[in-house]
Amino acid sequence: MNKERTTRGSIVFAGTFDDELISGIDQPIHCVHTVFDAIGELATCVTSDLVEAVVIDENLITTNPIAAIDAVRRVDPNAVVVVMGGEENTDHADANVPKDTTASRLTAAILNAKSKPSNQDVIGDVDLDAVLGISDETMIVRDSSPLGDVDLVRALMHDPTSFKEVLVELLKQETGWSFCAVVDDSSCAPKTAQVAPLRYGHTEHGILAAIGSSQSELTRWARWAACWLEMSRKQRQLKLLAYQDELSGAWNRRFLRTCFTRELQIARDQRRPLTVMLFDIDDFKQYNDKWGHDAGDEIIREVVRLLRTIIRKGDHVCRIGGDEFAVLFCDPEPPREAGSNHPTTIEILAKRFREQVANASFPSLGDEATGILSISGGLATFPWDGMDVDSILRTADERLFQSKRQGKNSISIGREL
Amino acid sequence: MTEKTSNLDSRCVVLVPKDRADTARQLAQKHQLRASIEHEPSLAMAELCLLHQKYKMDGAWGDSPKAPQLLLVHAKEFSQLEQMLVAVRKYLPHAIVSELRDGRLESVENLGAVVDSLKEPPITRSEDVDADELSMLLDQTPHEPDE
Repeated sequence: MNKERTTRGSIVFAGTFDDELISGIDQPIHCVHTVFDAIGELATCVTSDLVEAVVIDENLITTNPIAAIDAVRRVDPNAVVVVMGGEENTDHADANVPKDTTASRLTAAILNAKSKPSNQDVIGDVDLDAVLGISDETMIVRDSSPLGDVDLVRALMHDPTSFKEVLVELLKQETGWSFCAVVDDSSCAPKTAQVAPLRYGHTEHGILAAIGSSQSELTRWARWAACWLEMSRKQRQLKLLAYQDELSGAWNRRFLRTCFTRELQIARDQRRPLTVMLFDIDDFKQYNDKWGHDAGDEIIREVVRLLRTIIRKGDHVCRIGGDEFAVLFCDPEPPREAGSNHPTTIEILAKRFREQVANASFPSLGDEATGILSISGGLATFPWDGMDVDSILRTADERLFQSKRQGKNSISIGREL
Repeated sequence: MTEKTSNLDSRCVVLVPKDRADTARQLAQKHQLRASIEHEPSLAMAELCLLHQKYKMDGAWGDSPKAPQLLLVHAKEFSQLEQMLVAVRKYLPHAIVSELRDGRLESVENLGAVVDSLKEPPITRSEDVDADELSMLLDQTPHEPDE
């Protein structure tokens, strides 16, 4: 499978460098005189020529190296910052190389710095109910009337994060205990409190601690509370099963539609863009046929793992078909305020992901398989490419096929269809 | 290294030495500016670039175009000021750069020569004008050179 190797981003060289070094770099370069120029290059680069790294001559930043590097990172947090100098390098940079380094060593240093993982979409940390729009505190009307089982059900349905709190309040109301809490361990309970395990079958839910209760009364209520806590756990588990892809651990197509609909509404309300990237693995069937389905499964898992190393907190990776994926880029803080970190541009993320896949190794495919995998994708952004979920997904899909028609191993971003 | 006054409308970046930050804050308050006050030229450049990007993004939403503003307060104390202004002129040509002079904000027109413009213009004395030169200046017709 002879594919054109990926085109990498450009490198900005700020300062004075050896001609031999510059000529040995096998990617686009921009040579500038000052750090200010480097910042300007980063801020004004176009999507077709994104900056992968900024190499700074140490002599330019002797006054305040930390501020200079911070300034570069403010404009593009994902550009690799390399300081080239003598003995006294700064640890603040992503990489430090000596003045007499070679082009290949510099390239290796940049690649090495890039491979460090960033924020990941760890499903365990995601508030699934909030992401899917299930949480809705407004549905729960609190008044002075006594709590009942119905309040527990409402909390489970509309505001799962408050479930334990409602449970404890209900216990206090029913028993008249002066203190009641669900704690992880009996050592966390007050010394004067009675404690009872919250156990349902073999599942532990912590300890129920109370002051003003007899041990037998506490044990009886602990069994009752454990049933509710188990139901709450089961409900979360079922939601995960409904929205998660078992093979890759990514979210599934159902999640994409639910989450996309909700995020689109937020984007519309807050007047912010929302981007989706659809992509698939080029000629995936051939890998399955040649190396077997286990190898194919490994590719799927590895692609998701790679993708998680480049996305930001708040972005979501979804597997929506056999080898089809979607990434929902939910930038949490646009439009940015001056002084905060600039949101990483999605084009940079998409480009870096494609590069990572192209350079990844897959042990199940054998040594000869390194670098043969590629992806084709398409990006579409609200509001420019569509105003609703279907039209945005359709545009992204059309761009994906545009990438395929153009010879695969590319991600189509622009407006031409 | 960054501080903000954020309760006002107009945005700008202020570059000021750390020990003169009070002046910058007063300036921002007086002129109703929402300022990012920076004490390092590189960080001021970064903030200016980000402001430029924000305005570009706002423009895509149909907002009226705005130019990022940079205010210099006692900024000649920064040795890298001229380098920074050259970069501003090159990459952000629409940026408005002003300087605090004698309590007033004045536009810095020639960015590259800003350091020179802060100095008093040199006073030079020319030699006395002779009769021929005077005649030429008044009549605008030079005399024929002597044979």
